Amino acid sequence: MRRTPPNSVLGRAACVLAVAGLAVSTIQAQQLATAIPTSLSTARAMHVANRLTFGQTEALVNQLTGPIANYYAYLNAQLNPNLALDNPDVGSLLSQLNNGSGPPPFTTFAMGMGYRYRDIQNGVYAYSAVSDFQLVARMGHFWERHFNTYANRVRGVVRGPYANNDLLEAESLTCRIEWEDYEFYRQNSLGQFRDLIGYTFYSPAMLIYLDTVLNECGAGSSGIPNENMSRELMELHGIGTNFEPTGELNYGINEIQAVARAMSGWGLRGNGYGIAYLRASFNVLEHCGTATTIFGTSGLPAYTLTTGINAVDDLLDYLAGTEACADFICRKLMLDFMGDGSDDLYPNVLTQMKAAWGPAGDIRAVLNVMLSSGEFLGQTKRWCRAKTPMETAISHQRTWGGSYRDTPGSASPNLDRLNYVRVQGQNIGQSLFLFVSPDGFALESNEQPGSGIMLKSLNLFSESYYTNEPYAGNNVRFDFPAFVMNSLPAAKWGDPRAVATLFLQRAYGAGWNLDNLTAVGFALATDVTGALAPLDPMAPDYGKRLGQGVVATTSTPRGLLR
Amino acid sequence: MTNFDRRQFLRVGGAGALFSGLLSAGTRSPMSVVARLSGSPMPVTTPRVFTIFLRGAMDGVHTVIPKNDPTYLTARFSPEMRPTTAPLAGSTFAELNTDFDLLQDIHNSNNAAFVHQVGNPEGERSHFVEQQIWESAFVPTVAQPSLEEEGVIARLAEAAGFGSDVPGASVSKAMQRFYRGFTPARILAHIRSLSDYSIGAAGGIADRQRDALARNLMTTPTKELERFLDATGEFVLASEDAVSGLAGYQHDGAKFPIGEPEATAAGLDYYQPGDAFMRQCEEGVELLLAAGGPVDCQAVGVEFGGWDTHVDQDEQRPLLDPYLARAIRSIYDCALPACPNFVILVVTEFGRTNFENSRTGTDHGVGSLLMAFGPRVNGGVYNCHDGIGLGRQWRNLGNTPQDYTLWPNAQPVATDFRLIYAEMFEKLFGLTSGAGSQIEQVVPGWTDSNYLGVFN
Repeated sequence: MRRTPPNSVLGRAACVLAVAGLAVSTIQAQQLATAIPTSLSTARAMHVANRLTFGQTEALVNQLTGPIANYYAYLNAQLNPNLALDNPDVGSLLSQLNNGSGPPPFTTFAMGMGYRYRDIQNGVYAYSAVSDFQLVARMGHFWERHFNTYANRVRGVVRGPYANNDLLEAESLTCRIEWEDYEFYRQNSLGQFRDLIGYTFYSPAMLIYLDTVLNECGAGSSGIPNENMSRELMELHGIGTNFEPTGELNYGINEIQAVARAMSGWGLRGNGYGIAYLRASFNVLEHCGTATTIFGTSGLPAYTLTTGINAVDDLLDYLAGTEACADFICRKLMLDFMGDGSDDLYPNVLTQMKAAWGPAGDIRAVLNVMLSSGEFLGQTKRWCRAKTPMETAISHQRTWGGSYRDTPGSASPNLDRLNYVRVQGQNIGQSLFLFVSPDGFALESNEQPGSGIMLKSLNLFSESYYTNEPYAGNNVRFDFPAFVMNSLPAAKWGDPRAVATLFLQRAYGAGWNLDNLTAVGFALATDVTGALAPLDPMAPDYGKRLGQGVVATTSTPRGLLR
Repeated sequence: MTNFDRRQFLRVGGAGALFSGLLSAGTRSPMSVVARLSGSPMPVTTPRVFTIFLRGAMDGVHTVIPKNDPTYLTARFSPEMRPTTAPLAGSTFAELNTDFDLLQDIHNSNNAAFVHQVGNPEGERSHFVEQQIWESAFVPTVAQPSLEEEGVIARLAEAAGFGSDVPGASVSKAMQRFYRGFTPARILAHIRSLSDYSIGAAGGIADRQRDALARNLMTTPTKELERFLDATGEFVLASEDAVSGLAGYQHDGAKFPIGEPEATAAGLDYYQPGDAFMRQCEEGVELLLAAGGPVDCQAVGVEFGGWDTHVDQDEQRPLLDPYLARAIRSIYDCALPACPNFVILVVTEFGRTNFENSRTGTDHGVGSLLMAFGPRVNGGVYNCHDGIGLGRQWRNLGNTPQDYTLWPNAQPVATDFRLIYAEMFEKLFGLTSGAGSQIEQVVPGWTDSNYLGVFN
């Protein structure tokens, strides 16, 4: 099916035109390069921080507000991180995984270590919620979803040959496999795309998940290859179904089958439970690759497959350098970072990003172009992009200065409190490493929109903020009285309207209205019985009353949007 | 656990209006909500459809087996890839996988249609592309987000005039595209679980939480928030209130087994992912058969994943098939006494390859098996005969995977899936057909009414 290329302006027109007063200026912004602002207002700094990180914090907004040089200094540090200098809380949280064992070790992993999915999920949350290198964390999660694998599938396959048929041992082993993948994606998240796509093909998790280990079509088999990995390599990992600039199909069934043959023969070789040695291995007897010429379209020059052990590497060398690959990945990055709706596209930025791609996909250069652009900094916020459940769960903790420490004086954070956030994200609908579909919780998938998701999210926020008792239980700890008292003059501490305004500005900048102010103000002005009662900063329930206001603030539908 | 109490909110909300004079003129009037909630009981006479989307592409050849295809043994060369079968009355060509034995009674009542070789003629064999196409009923030649992102059931609801606060619902972990609307008037409810329709813990504190939620959700909706709206044009409150008002139901573990003990008692090999599916089906039936009040759901949809059997199809399908069969039969048995006008529609995004691959799996194909059940169905096996039968003649699987240049190593598309939709929409829901018709709007651009005769 040949499709006319989507018109970027028309594609997002529904969302843009709905904000009628902004429609013209926004469309023009797409057609002409947008000037870089000389400074960022607080509201704009908040918007940028929300895009660049897992959620704005008060400190980060303050850091970015002001001359644009503030932002570029921050961006430069994010693009060129020294990961060894990350926030020590990250290391502290990671060290508490698996009852103090830390993350799964790569070289000394052994039977009986007892890792569970929650351990590696919490590891991702630790980086995402706490790391100072938020761009690396964001990109690590981006690639983890882009190269999604389903842990239960991996567990099922390794259980027999590598885990004595023990389900819990298989889960532990799967954690080791999945964690190595995530750490590779995270640590190389700003590197070369060719390295990432090459890593994922040979990763044990991916070899299992998309059936490469079972793609055998040598003389001893039926000769019919398994097409699963071949298809997803092209559709999801590398080039997409269509070359969007022309609408041409990038590949057809002939390409699928030829590439499947080129991939045949790859399997896993292990040493019993010695997962450190579980690696991809090639069996030429199960290989049926042929020197077939494939592709030959606008974005994909004709390519003749090689055969044998180098066939996949040769193919990936070729693919990573094609315009189809650059176009596909750059569009996805743009949607993730700049999308404020469903089909946002900025042709000027896309062209520059593709120019920075290079022969192997220089992600740092591509990101630098995008994140430095006037479009990234200057686009009018439309509140159209739904957060993923993980983003939702983490961003609100960051907004309200949630602490994972048991007391303000605690030397280190408590993993149990971070675990509370992970469970929230899971309850809203995103379980890391356990998304069964290979599109990995795509931003524009069906996973996010819907009134049911909204209801579930609001239930959880309500429980989180209202029932939260400082220093008690395993909830994230908030100190709402300190926030109010540090932000408002003493005369306003008991003024529901002033506090409501403060809360809404903290959460949404300028993105709130009188309805919201009424809701938050009323929540602050009434006691637990619903009766109007003074908001007394000296009263023992002052924190609780402020919690009511935070519930009302967070319950605004925009709490689910970025 | 206390259910959300709309009336309590309205009472407290009235007090809220006194607060500092902040209530804006744009805030919705509570009275409009009260008026909508009043309704008189009515029997379940209006037509209903229960959709089951099998995510991952089910192999129809493994379900309704073309036993008399002379190439069947060649294409499915492994004995384990050939399930045991039982004859289907009226067909001399096809037989039914015995894991679907529960459907034989429905078939014998002439209320089961098995339609082979249904699909999108332009099919790209991509899960993501084809699921979107099947659920939107729009095969794009030019990008049109308003049509690609909108579900055909959502359009149907508007065209057929579904009423009530909950006229249709996607009962699923994620909102299915089938039920998504591009405009507020077409957006249907997303109900992850009926258990979500109680908020917080019991007691005064919980009530205060609900108040805060409710008050904010009364915020005037704006375009960017439409994805969170329900058909009433409000955020979740209307459907929340309506669903909370349902009388509730007694779980029937025999019909919808959840958990290993119930599965074992029901004769199923326990399959953990089947739990969520069974729960969705049971809750879906409750919604489907509620009528006369604020919940009058004429379309309910669930989904069931796990059908992407690239490997070990011989091991996966014996787990999946009995759950699917049990669910269909139970939905049918629940609905039949209560509703004379219902259809259970079972679809999947495409079929699988004719030839199994090297590891007892099948890859992505094109034409698939569509199933429909209910008193408005003309039973039979369609597009699967060797010359005399319903629909088109079966195209053999082939002697080699390279036998066909059109839809190679896949079943062809004898019937465009949109033709099936159109027939159901016209005959069950009374939509007009042809050029300039309602169906042309609901199934974008579709004017063909040379139906297969699946529905009466």
